Amino acid sequence: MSRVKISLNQDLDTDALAAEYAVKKRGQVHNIFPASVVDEIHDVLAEQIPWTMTYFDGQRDQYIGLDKLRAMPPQERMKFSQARLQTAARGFAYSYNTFKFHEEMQNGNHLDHPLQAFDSFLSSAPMIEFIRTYTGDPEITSGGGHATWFGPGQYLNLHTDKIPGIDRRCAFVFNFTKQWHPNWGGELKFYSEGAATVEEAFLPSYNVLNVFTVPKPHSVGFVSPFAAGPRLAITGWFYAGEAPR
Amino acid sequence: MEFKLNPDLDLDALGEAYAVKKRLQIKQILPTKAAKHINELMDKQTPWIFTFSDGSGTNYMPIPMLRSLPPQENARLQQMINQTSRNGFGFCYNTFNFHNEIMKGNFLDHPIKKFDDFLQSDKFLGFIRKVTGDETIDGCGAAATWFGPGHYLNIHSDQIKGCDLRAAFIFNFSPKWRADWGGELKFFPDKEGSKVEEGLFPAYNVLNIATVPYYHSVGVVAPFAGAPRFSISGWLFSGKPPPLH
Repeated sequence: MSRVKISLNQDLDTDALAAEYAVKKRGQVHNIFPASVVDEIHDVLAEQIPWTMTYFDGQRDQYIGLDKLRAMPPQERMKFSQARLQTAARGFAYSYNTFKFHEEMQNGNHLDHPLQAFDSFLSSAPMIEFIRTYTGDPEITSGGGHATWFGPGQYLNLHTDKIPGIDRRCAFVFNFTKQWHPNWGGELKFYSEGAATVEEAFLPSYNVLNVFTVPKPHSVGFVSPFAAGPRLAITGWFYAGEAPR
Repeated sequence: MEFKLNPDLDLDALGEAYAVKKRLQIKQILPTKAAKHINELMDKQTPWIFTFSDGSGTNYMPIPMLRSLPPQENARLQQMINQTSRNGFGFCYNTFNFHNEIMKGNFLDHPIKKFDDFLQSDKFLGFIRKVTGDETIDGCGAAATWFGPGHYLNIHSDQIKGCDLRAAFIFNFSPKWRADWGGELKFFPDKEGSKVEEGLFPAYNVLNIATVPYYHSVGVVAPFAGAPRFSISGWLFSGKPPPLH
């Protein structure tokens, strides 16, 4: 992919999309990439990512290599799973697989990885221009992202994406899930004030960009144990100022 | 206990609200004491049976039998249920089909009989006719349900061949629920379930009503859910009731 130029679909009606976005301060852009580009990114996500499982232990982010997780003796594995459930029952928690390519590349790692092209693309002029027009925020100057893979039993509990000291303007999810079913869960859910209801939820999809203005209470719903495909995405934020590490 | 609706409900306002989306959530539906009584019945005095789909029909298994299955058989059953649910209409939860049982002459001295009487009475059916604006509704069938961790009910429309179902309802009796625990009543705009239009969390002393057909599901209850999802759900029909099973 590093040799392929990533470009947005040239036929998008950006003004019409922006008018839609303005209503709820969120939206979906279908066919965000030309077909050849999206397939190429998908194949990299499906085949070339050094995934790490990440989870929240109640206090901080934790990371564990998938090989280490797979090598755990059954009893230890069960204890590990139970600890995850206990944290999630009490409050904010998550469990999914990730590759934090922007952070890694900022630190000088993985610079020859095919997603390097995507990292550059996120802060490129065409992308920034599109997202400024789409969200109506002319102050956005950069973007940073990470790849995510949610499998059966994984989730990201309710949160708002607001972090003190970092000027996140909007969050994005580029969807690269080829096959999904409404019973498989894993939706990007948006909550009303006080999280009284789910006011809308977007299903995992293919070649679709989700964007929403930060802060907004949202979550990634629990993926059903019977979900048959991986939920693949590249997600992150657009910032005013330089994308942080 | 003799049941009645909360006398303070504003029928005209509810009717107007219902007409907008052909569905409505009504809070404080029963007097406080009545809601508490039902919740206690469900918690302590209900002969729950596990029900699931195996692809060809609805199956029932008493909970003691489910619990006594050897681990290998239990795993095989779970796998079979998952297989069905992956790409088709699947479900698994606990139920007490009290209206069915009462029609067959069983459980006539169980305290739920009074609630069944209430559901068949004009106190309830008259209220439903007024809110839905559907004067043809003249009958009702209902069952108690308990969704625990891992339980779900896949997308469906509530249409039954040979029966004129007009609307469906769910009385919620879950006093404690967190947004991350799943188990929402999800509404979809179409049978493909292209997105979730709204998701209603389990609640307490709340009635949901919707005009049939409508595409909906009960999302998977997260394994870390810390409370049971109790409800009484049923159908409102015109003329011939749905067949007993």
